[in-house]
Amino acid sequence: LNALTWSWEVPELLAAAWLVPILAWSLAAAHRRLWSRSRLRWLLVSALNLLLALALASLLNPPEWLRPASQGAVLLTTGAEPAPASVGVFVTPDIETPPEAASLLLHAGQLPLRQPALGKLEIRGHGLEAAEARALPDGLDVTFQPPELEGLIRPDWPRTVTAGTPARLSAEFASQDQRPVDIELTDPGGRVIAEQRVPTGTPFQITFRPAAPGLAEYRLTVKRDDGILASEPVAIEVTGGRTVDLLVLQSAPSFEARALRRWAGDRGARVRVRTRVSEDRWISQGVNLTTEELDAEPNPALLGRIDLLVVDGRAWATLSEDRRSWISDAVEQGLGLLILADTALLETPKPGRGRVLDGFELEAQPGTPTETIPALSGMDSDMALPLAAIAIGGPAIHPMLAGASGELIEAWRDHGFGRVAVSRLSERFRWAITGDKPAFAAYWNKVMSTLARSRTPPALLAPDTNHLTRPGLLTQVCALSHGTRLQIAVSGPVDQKTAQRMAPAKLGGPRHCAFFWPVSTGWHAVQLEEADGGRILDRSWRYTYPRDTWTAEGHRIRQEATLARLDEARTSGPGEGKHVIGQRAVTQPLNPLWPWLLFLLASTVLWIERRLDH
Amino acid sequence: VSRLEATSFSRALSRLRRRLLARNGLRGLAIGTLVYAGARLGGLTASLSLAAGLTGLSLGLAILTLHGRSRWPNPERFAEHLNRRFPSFEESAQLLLPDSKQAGALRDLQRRRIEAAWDGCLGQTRTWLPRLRATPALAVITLGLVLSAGAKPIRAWLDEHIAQAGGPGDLHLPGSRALLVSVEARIMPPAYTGLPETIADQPELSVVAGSGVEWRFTFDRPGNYQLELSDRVARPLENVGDNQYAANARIEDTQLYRIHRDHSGGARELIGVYGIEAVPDRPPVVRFLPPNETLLEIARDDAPRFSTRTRVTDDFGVTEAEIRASVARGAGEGVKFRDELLAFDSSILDDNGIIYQRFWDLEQLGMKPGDEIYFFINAFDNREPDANRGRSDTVVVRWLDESTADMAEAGIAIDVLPEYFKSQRQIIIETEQLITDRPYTDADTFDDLSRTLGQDQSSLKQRYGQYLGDETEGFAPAPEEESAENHEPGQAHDEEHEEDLTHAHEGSSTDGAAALIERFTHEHEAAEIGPITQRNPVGLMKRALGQMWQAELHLLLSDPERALPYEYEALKYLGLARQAERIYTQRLGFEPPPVTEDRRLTGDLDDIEPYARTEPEANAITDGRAFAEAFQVLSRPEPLSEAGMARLRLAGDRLSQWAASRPALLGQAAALERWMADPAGTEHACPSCRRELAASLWLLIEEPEPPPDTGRRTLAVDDPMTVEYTRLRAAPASGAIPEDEG
Repeated sequence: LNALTWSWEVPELLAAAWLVPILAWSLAAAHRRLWSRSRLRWLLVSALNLLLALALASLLNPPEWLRPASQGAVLLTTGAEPAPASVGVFVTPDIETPPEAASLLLHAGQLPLRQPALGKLEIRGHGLEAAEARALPDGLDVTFQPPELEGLIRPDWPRTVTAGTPARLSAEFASQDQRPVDIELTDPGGRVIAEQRVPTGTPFQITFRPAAPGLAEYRLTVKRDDGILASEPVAIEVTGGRTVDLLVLQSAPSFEARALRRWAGDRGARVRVRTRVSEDRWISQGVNLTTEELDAEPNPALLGRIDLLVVDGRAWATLSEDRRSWISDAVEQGLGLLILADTALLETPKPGRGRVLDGFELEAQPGTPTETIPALSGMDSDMALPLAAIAIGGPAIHPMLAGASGELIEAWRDHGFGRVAVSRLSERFRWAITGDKPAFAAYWNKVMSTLARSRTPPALLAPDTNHLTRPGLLTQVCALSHGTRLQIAVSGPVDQKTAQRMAPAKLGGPRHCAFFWPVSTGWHAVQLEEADGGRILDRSWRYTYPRDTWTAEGHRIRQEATLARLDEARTSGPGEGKHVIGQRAVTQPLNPLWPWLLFLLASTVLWIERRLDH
Repeated sequence: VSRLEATSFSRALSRLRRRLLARNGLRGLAIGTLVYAGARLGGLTASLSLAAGLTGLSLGLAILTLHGRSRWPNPERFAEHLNRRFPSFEESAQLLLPDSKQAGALRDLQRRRIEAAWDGCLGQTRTWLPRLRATPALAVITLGLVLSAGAKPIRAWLDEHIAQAGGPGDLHLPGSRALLVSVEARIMPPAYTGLPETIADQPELSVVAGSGVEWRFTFDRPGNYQLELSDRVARPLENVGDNQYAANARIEDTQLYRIHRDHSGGARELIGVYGIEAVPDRPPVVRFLPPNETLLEIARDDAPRFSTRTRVTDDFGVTEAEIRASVARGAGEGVKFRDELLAFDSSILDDNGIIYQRFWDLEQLGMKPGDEIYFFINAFDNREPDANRGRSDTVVVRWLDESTADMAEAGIAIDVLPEYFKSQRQIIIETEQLITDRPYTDADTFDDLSRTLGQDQSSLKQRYGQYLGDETEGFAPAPEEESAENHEPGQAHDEEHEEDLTHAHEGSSTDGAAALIERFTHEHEAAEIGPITQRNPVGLMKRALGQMWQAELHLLLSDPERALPYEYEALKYLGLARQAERIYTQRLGFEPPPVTEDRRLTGDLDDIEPYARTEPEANAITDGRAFAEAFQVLSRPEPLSEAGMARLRLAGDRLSQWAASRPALLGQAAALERWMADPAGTEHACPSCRRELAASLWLLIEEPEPPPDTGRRTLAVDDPMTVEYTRLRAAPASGAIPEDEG
């Protein structure tokens, strides 16, 4: 009886309500008739009336038995071996040639509906997507032995990269054949730009630098003995840099400033170089500026506009206290400051170095190497540059550039909303004049992207580095913005332009997210817009990968999602065996025959009792 | 009804029928003629037009006969017609019908009355017989025939007027676009080449520079066609009849040519963009045959005689070769030079060119021990009007004399890098170009170019090797002796790209590096140059040579992709050697006088005013940037904007310029131009073209270089949270957040 449940809803209650007065009337009549004659008989009749009422109630609203589910089924997912035809075989839509007797399941959540007494499930193939795996009912006894993966898995690369900066692509080739394989990365022009021989089953990493802004489709190919084992697309949105406003203060003319001005100016940056010729006299040179803009004194207003200030140590040491204070205030408001340390700076007593340098410990360090090869990410330049014999230290400093042997060359620390860095390096212009311009550019790009004033929001955020967007699957787009009424507009090669409102993060902050369902494969333009005025705030691109690309990774994701669901269920269920997550119980309505028989029996006995009475 | 009236009735009916037949026939014929003329004007052939005309005639006849006022009359309809026309029949003409057999007194009475009126009425033919109206029909027939006869010119006229309606600049005229049906190009190479005339039936041509080309284009329709070469001057095509048009031009450079069709309203229709590769007549190649050393020393006691064999090759023929020699005599400031023009003793024609020989007797040249002679060979080909000149390496011959041991140290400029000699960077550039052009180059040409580059690499390797003691080449002396005696750092070179700092210093690094070794050997105790020994230039140079060996190997095997990394390594080591040399030079040569802050700040600066100078915006767009911007436009699957089209045009212009020196790019330049002329149409016809164009542009983009960029942090000053925080921090002490806790 413990397994018997009898739940009553309002309609059934209303339907059975008439039994109550009838039962009461029957009991009262029996009481009048039999109470004085035989109380035992009265009890018997009352009990029979009660059973009769129960039987009628059971016929009206049958109680349910909770019974262990005992039926078994086989679910064929992608990659499954063909199963023999039988009644309990279900297939997911991605099975191209299902067995004849198999039933098609559009979603795994349909399983308990299609086979209510399902107790055991064997999943063959690579398993289910995460959303479907979550729909498997608890208590189901599931057997899942995923097949071996064959192909490129665990791809990871930044979906958005600035042109010329290094991008790292990592992945792993999974195969039963454990011989090493050759990895090739081909650029959008079809040129092999990286080659590696790697062991099977071991993660590998390739660093490359996209040449130009645009939508670049690379291709990662795995070869062995000149045969292609796998070849997958690697789509990257390559962006250009953003316009930077630079100010250089120097105590004397230098090649350093000249090379910086030429390089940054040629690439659209607004560059001011102020060279001190006397205590109160400066020569100003600029590029991409009007004369009025160039004439502007470096007062708080100007410092509030520029993004990065580069000052040599001597110029810094001889700046007036007022100016250093302005700069300090500007850095607190977001300005980036790079101080090129030299002996003049070192000889200045610490209290006179200004507030922004309070956090740095700068000390003379005789005997240190006078030159080093700076380690620039993604660059193989081995040109040695001179170093000032200064040790940089202090609390909460972060290394910005180190030498080939690990010595600290440049470090930065936060100062308000801005950043201050101190550099020991000099003669960076050597990179530029000896034909190693990429190294020069990489150095200054790193300095600027680390230190210069941030102008991020509103901006769309790049997708996760390991996420593959697929057609028909929910895709999240997030953005940073201080506005509240935002939307994204998505348009693809075939998809019509659709707009989705963005929801702010529940915990507050500038993060907003929305979802869209790409229909077609290829590049989709995503625009961040104001929901009211429709003003475009930012624009980005997302690539939707065809189903037949990165298939091994798709299989791996399915396997992991399915196993994770089984593990999750196992911890909450009674089962202990591998991939067995317990005994599922199902409820079955009571067979109406039993209350009918009870009704017949009770009514027959009551009829006999009345006949005996007569 | 009497027999007489019945016959008369039938006769009248027949007459009416004949009249209607004639009238409908004429009208049907007019319709048929009009349909025929319309079909001809629409461009259908004569037989199809005739079929259409006959169909029109049949349909017209059928419609006219079955419907309307001219439909075919039967007796009942004729009687009705008579009732309408003659009131005297009192709506009873049906009683005259031959099969009207109903009897009755009233009917007979009425019949008699009608019969009485019959003859009178029948005589009024104008009333009951419809008029033929032949004139309008014949006019329409005449018009149709005229239109049919003038269908061709009328169609051309209509096309022009439709195009005019499109407005100027409208290049796309769906439905009226002229087609180039065929091309015949007669190519007449310059006479001096001795090549025969050829006829090409493709618009893409490859000709010897200076060739004349006579085109005959056949279009599907007449029009005002123009030919536009790289000078962008429109040359009208001459109509030679039957939709054929002729033009001719002399082709000196590789270029694109375009065919336009100009419409009367100024609209221009692009018919096609094609490329002509002008294969240049290359200058003669002059190479010394082994032993091909460039430095020969003859001992004082040896016989001052030697011989040289030089092979001169040219693509079309060598006309002349001469020896330019300079004899140096004397020492120090007393050295005197004498220039001489010498001839060869003999020449032999072999499969690979002409071998010139000369036997040298220094005594016959008036030389004595201690003298030197420098000579090189000039060879001229048969190019007209100006012959190409090829120049050999310079050979230095020394007739040694003990007393002149130090002469070379005084520094004699020796041209160690002849014109044909390519630098390592140039080899890299050309290797990269070769790899890029591979998809557009046939296999034989590719192999030839790769092997040529391999030979250039070999020459460069030998040149450097000679001065570093590479024993595999000739009898070059030990590096120390050679470099110390003959070459000083900083000797001048006539490399092809002097403007390139890296490039220009490669040659000097050879001599400078070799000289450095000598100096290091003897001056290692000098404090100024101590650190440099950490980077031994000679070691670096030798590493560069090792890389050059590998690069040469792969280039000769037509595998430039594998050669490229070695070429880069070689360049890197050359650069490092050069850098070591520069450090050395700087420390000895440039020691600026100390300028102290005190001295600078205490000077009289009254006359010095601050000044500001701003440079104009750096708008010079490099080729690489133009290609990068075009790639960006093409890579995005979205409609082309005006700005995007402008970027593509710029890239197209640059690509055309590049194609002049790299014919493999000609096809890409033409494809880009065709795509720009009709982006939507091309995309529809060839969905992958846009991506292919983008890919080809990607290959032309310069080495990637990170741009200036701003910081990328999520925390910003204008964040509302930040603003609020700042406001609270700036608030007086009574604020919610104490200063030191904020």
